[in-house]
Amino acid sequence: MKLLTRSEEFVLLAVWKLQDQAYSLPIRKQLSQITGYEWSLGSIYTPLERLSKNGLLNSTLTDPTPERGGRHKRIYHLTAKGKQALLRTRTVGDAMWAGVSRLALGG
Amino acid sequence: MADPRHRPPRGTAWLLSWLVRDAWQTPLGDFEEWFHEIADERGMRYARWWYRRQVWRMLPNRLLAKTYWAFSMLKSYLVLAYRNLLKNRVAASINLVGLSVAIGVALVAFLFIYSKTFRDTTHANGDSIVLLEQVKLEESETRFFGITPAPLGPALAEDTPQVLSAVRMTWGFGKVDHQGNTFDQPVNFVDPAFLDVFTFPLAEGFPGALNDLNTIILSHNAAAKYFGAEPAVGQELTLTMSGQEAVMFTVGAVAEPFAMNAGVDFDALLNIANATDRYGWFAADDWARDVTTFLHVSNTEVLPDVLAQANSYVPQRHAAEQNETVQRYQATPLTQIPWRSELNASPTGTPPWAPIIVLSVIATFLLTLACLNYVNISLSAASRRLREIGMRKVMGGSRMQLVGQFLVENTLLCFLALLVGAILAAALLIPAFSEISGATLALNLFAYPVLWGVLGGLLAIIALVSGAYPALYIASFQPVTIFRGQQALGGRRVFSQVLLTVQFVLAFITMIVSLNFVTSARDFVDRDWGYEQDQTLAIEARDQLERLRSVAEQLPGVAAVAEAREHIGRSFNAFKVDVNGQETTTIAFDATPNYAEIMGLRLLSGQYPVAGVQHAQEVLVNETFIAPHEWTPAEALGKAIQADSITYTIGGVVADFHYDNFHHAIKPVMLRAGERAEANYLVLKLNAGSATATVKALEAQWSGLVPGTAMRYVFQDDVFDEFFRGNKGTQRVFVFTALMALLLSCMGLFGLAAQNATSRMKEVGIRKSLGASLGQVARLVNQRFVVLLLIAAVIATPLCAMLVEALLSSIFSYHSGVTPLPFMLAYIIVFLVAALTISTQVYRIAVVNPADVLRDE
Repeated sequence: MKLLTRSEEFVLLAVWKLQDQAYSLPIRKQLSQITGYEWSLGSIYTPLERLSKNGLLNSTLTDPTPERGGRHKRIYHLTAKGKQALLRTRTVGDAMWAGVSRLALGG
Repeated sequence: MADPRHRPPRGTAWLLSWLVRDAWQTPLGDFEEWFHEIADERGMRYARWWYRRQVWRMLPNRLLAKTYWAFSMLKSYLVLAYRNLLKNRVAASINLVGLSVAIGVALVAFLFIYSKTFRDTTHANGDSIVLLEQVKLEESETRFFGITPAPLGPALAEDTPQVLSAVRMTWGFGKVDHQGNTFDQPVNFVDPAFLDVFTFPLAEGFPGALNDLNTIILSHNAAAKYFGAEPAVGQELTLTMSGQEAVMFTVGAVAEPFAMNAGVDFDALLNIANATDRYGWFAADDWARDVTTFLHVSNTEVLPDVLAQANSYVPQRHAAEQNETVQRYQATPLTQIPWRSELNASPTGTPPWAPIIVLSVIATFLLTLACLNYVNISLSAASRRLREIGMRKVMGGSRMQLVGQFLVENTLLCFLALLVGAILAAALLIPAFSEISGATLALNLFAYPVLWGVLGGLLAIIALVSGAYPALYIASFQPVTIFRGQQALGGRRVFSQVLLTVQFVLAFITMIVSLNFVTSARDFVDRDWGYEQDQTLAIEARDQLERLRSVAEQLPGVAAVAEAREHIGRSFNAFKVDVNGQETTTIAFDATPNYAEIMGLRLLSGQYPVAGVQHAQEVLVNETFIAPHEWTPAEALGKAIQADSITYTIGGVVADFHYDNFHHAIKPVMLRAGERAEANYLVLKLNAGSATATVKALEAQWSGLVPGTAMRYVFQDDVFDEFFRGNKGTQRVFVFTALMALLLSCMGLFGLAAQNATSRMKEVGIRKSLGASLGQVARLVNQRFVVLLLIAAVIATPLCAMLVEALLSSIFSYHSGVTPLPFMLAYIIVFLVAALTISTQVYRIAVVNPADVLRDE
C-alpha cells in the first residue's frame, strides 16, 4: 500500500480528532490553525474525495440546517483501512526520523 | 439568520450552484456556513465580497470542465442519434422526406416574398438614393405621385451641392424589327448618370455609352432575345417608338442579369435626350411634364434642405399647368418605395399581397404537416426506446439531459432535411416556380447573406416545434413504471390521434380547394363570353388600316369588316357620364356602326346602329349600365346620357359581355358608333374554314406595305390566352400543394399504422391462433384510422365550403362557386390513398406467423 501524502495524513488526523464534527469546514479550520496558513476549501475537498474513493474514509449526511441554507453536512469517519494507513505512515515517519534528534539544535 | 440581507449574494450563489454539480449540494452548504462565520467575525459587507471573490476565482476552471463534459456528451448524443436514424429507417425517411419537401417549399416562399418586399438592396449607393415624390391635394384628398416635373431634378442638382446627381426616368413603348421578326420593346429613357448612381454590373460595354444619343443599352434578357449568345455590343437594332419614325441604334452595353429583388430595372435604356430632342415628347424645360426622378444625395440628413429647395419650385409648376394642385415635394429612400402603398405611379409598385399570402399559407401548411408527422412518429418510436430511457435515468441522467439528447437527435435530422430541402428547392422547385410565376428567384447564399439567417431560423423553429413536445414527454417517464412494463401510453394515443386528424383535415382542405380551383378553371373555358368569339379576326393595323381594309373587303373568306378604336378583349377607354342624375364611370368602345353586330353582341332591346345613317349620338349600353336605374331593357331606350357637352341617347341594350378577363368584374359599357373613329383595329368576320387563307393573304399584303415587319393579329377566341396561361400556373401551384399535403399526411398515417401494428403483433398472433379471420383482425387493428379519416372529412367540409368561396371570389370576379364535384373527388382520392397506405399493414398482419410473435414470452 502506498504511503499517504502530507495533506492526506493531516486530513485523516483531523477527521479522527474531530470525531462527529468531522466535516469540511472544521477540518479546514483545524488545519489552518495548526499549520498557520489558510487552507482553501478546495484543498480540503481534493484529499477528502481521494481518501473516500480509496476507502480510507466513509461519510454520512446529516439533516439539513438553516445556517447552511437548508443543505446537508457530509460527516467523515475513518475506516479500519484508514486507521491502518495512518498508523503505517506514523511508523514509517518515525523510522525516518530516528537518529536525527539534533536537527532542531542546528547541529 | 432569517434576515434576507444576511444571506450570500443571490446571483453569485446561483452561479455557484450551477458551477458545482453535486447531488447533495454539500459544498454549497459549506460555503454558506463559512460565509456566516466570516460575516460574524468581519461583518456582512466583507463576507459578501469574500463570497463573490471565491466564486469568481473558481469560474475559469469550472467552465472549462463543464464545456469539456458538454462536448463529450454531445459527441455521444450525435453517435447515438446517427445509430437511431439507421435503426428506424422507415420513420427517419418519412420525417426526412416530409421535412425536406416542406423546407424546400418554405424556401421558395421566402425567396418570393423577400424579392417582392425587400427591393433594390443591391445598389452600392442604395442608402443615399431617394425617389422625389409630388404631393397633390385633389378634391380635398392628399395624393402622392412618384413622378415629378422633368426640369426639377436637374435644377436641384445644379443649385444644391448636397444633391450629387439627379437621375430622371421615363418610359416608352416601341417595336424592334430584327431579322424579319417584330418584337415589343419597352424602353426606359434615363439620364446618363443612371448607370453611375445605380449599380447595374455590365456584361459587355461600358456605362459611358449612354452619353451617345444613338446608343442603346440592353438588359441580359433583351440581348439574349435578339442576339442569343453572340456578343451584342456594336450590333444594330431598328427601333420604332410608337407613332415615330424607325431609328437605327447601336448596342453600347449589355447588363448582367438583374438581382432577383430588383425593383428599378429596365429592358432597354436610351438617353433621355432622345425623348426630348429626337422624339419631341416634351421640352427639357417643360414644368407640366412629369417623369420619375431619383436623387443621389450626399447623405439622408441633408434631405430637409433639398426638399425646401424643391418646394421653392412649386410656383414654376403652377405657372406651367393651370388647375394644378401640387402642394409640395417629399422624398422616399429607394428601399422603402414598395412600402408606400398610397403612392401613385410608383416605379416599383407595391408587393403583390395575394400570392404572398397564398404562398405563406402553403408553406405554413406543409411545415405544420411535416412537424406533426415528426411529433407523431417520434412519440410512437419512443415505445421502442423505453428501456434506454429508463436505464439512463437510473444511471443518473437528469430529465434535462434526456430532453437535450432527444433534441440533438431531432436537430440532426432537421439539419439533414434542411440540406436536402435546399437542394430540392435549388434544383427543382425554384426553376418550376420561376416558370409559373415569371419571377426570377435564386438560392444564392453569397449574394443574399440574409438566407443564412433564414436557414438557421428554419432549423431552430422546426427542431423546436417538432422536437420539444416528444422530448419533454418521453423524458418524463419514470424508470420504475418503465421496467415494470407499466408505462401508460393512453394519453399519448389520444394526442397523436388528434394530430393525425388535424393532418387529414389539412390534406382534405388543400385537396378540395385545389380541385375546386381546377374545375372552376375548366368552367372558364366553357363559359359564355357574352358574344360570338368564333370566326373573328382582329388586326392591329393602325397606319395601314385603310389599305388593309380595301384588300380585306376583296377576300372571299371575309364576310364583314369593321373598324374599332378599342377592341373587346384587347383595350378599352373609360370616362365619366351622367345618367338619370347619377354620375357613373363607363367603359367605352368607339367603332364603326357594324362592330356590335360583327362581334355578335346580343341585343335585348332597340337595334344595332345602322351604317350610313347618322347615329353618332345614339349608343348601345350593356345590362350593367342600366341596372342601377332599375330600367327594363325596353324602358331604357331613348334615355339620355350626359358626357361633358354631348348628350347621347340609348339606342339599344345588349347582354353583358366579357370585354376583359375573368379577374375583372363587368362594369357599365357604352358603345359609340362613328364612321371614322381613329381606328386602331381592323375587325373581320370570316366565313367558316377560311381563317388560314385569309391570314395568309393579309400577311402577304402587310409585308408589301411595311417590309421587314410582321402583322400583329389575334383570333378573337384566343384573346384570353394569357389569362388562361396564368391560371394554369396557379392551378399547378395548387395541385402541387394538394399532392404534397396528401403525401405528407399519408406518410404520417403510414408511420402511425406501422407502429400501431407492430405494438399489437402479439395480440394479432393470439387472435389468429384462436381462429380469428384476417378480415376481423385487420378491421380491429385499423378501424380507428378509418374513424379518424371520417372525422377529418366532417371537419374539413364546412371549412372548405367557406374557404373555396372566399378564395375564388378574391381571385376572380366570375366563377362557378362551390360545387359538390371537387368535394366528392377529394374524398375519393384521400380515402383511396389512405386505404392503400393502411393496406400495407394489413399485408403484414396477414403474413404474420403467430408462432414467431408469441415465442419470446
